[in-house]
Amino acid sequence: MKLRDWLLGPVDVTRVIPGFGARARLRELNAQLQKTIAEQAATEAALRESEARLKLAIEAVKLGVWEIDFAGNRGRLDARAAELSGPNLPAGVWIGLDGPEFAAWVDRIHPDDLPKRNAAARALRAGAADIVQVEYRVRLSDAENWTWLTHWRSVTERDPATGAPIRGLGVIQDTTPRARVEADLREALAQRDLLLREVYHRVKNNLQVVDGLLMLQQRELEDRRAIDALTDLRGRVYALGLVHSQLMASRNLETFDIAPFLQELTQNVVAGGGPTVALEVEVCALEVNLDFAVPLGLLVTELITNSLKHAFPDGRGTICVTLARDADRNAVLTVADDGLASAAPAAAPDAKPGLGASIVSGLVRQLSATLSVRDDGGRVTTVVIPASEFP
Amino acid sequence: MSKPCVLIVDDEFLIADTLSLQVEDMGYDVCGTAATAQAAVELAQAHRPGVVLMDVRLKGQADGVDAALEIHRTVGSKVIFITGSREPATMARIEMDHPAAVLFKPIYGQQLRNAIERVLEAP
Repeated sequence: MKLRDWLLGPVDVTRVIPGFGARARLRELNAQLQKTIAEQAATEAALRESEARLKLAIEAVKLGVWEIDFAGNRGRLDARAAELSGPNLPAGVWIGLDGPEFAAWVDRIHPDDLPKRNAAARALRAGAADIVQVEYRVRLSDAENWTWLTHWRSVTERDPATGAPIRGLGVIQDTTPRARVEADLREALAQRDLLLREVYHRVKNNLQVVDGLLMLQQRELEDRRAIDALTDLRGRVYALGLVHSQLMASRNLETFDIAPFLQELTQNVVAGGGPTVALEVEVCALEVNLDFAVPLGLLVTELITNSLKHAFPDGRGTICVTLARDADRNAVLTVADDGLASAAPAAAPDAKPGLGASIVSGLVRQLSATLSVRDDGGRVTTVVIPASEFP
Repeated sequence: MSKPCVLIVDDEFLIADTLSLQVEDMGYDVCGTAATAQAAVELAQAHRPGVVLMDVRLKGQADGVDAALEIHRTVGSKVIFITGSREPATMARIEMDHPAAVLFKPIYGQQLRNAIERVLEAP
């Protein structure tokens, strides 16, 4: 029995007349009263404890608190909330949310942050189910610097029938130091990205210059073998340049999808064989980094160049390039042509391996890959690169 | 009708030079090479080229997009951008000019030939 019920409830007068049994009844009532008082005290102590904890938390992180009265369309700030809000908003009095004081406050918010601040305010007025958090910059006095404030707001009381918000609470904290560090970090990161892109750009540009020099040199030559050797060399330089070009466009500046890279690379190398050589490319998406893309790009260049040189005596044929993942997640690259497999230089065991062949075997070793060649109505080269080789 | 001439704009001598040679090998006349936006505009106005091969980064204040916009306005040549950058910012800047084509360095001979022929065939 609650104390209040006991005090205010209907009392049976006959039961409290002193006499036999009444004493026991009084003792019982007294015990109940004592118990209720003890419960009340415990509840009050718990409330005090809870308030003390809340106060400690609010003090520790220096939170300003403000209340929102949705029905009255007004808000009231505590002392710290008013202090954090600069000179515009007084503490301890109700202020109309659409009144001039709040309008002056909103005017001081950074224009870039105003949309998200307004969205947060709207979300709360609409009765947001969760805590609404928003961080924005505001110019508090006439100071040069922006202050970063973070708001957390929540609906604390709703219309039981409609669920519409009646009251809300907000806490506000000055998060400038953290926000500045974050902004500095973001800027440093952007700076790093810019520099890295610039490096890739320069590498690529220098490779284009190297290509130009090779081309100029090539035009001075008359020996067919020397001219062809420089053509091969230009193909290799092109592959290197293309890798850096992909890296520049990469979001994280470290990895990129190999598929468009191989599309572009193979198209350009095959175009060197003239318009009568067709190309089929079927390449799966695969995120790769520089360490993987450079040897793979060079490998593909060598294999296609080899086919262009030896497989098609009449200049006609098809080259097919595929890249897929096998059951063990290894990357399987095939370069196939439908030309004369027996004319390939690997068929001449007595000859010293050419530069192309030794580059291929070196790159295969570098990628810890295995290479196999078979004759299947043309030459089919398969390179299996273990999954451990790419990121 | 004689083949339209080609203007080449790149501040890197070797790149401008090798582009010229490649264009000449394709049978086109090169009406000049320019390293700055201003020189590019002057040469374009003097020779009225059919095609301009335009680098984005140039010597001096103005870039290739500035030059292309001015050439578009005063001469009407078709512009093929040859850029070292695939960054969104550069791409957005290039798109301002509604280029006839965009090639990315490194470029390969065949790629250049295809682009020039495609651009000249287009209405």
